[in-house]
Amino acid sequence: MLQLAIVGILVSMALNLIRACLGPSVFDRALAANAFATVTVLLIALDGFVNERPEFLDLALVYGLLGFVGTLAVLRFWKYGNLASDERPKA
Amino acid sequence: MGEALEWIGGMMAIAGSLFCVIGGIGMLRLPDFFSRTHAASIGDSLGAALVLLGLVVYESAQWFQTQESGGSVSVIIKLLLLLGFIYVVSPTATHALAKAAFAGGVRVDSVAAPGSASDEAQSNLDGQEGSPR
Repeated sequence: MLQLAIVGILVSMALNLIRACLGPSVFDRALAANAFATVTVLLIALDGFVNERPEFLDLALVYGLLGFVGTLAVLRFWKYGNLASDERPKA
Repeated sequence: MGEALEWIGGMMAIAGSLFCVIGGIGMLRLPDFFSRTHAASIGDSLGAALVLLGLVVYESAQWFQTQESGGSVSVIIKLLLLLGFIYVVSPTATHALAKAAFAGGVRVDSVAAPGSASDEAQSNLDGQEGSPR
C-alpha cells in the first residue's frame, strides 16, 4: 500500500520537474523546486517505512531544511547577484 | 485492530500522494505564476499532512501486532516534527517567492480581459517581464 503512495509521489515529482524545466520565469522554477523538495521529503519518509528503516526520517528532516534554505538562497541570488552582499532590501 | 490501523494508514498515505499528484498537475497546467503558488500549496498542506499522518497511524499499528518490538515513539515524534516543520516553512517560502515575484514585475492581468487575449501570449509576456538577468 505504501508502494502505491510512492508511485503517486514519483508522478508528482515528475510533474514538478517538468514545470521546473519549462517554467518561463525564475520564480516558476524556484516554486517548482520548492514543491519538489517538499515532495522529496515525503518520498524519503515513505521509502524509510517501505524498507523498514525509519532512520530515514532524519534524512527527511535534513532535506527539508536544505530545501528551504535553497529556495531562500535562489531568491537572494536573484535579487543581489551574489550571496554575500550586506545591503538590506529597500522596502 | 493492528491490520485495520495499517490499512487506514496506507489509505491516508495514498490519498496524500493523490493530492500531491493534483498539485503537480496544477503546477503544470495553471496559466500564471500566482495561480501556480496555489497548486504548490495543495501538495504542501493536504498532501504532506495526509502522508505523514498516515505514516503515524501506520507506525502506531505496530503496537497491536508484535509484543516485544512495537512501534517506537521517537519515530512518531519525528514524523510530527517533520509535519510541523513543513507547515511552518512551506508557506514562508511561498510567501517570499510571491513577494519577490511581485517585486520582480510578474503581474496577473488575465483578470482584466478574460478570453480576449490568448493565454499563451499572456504567459509569454509574463515570462519576459520576470525573466532572470
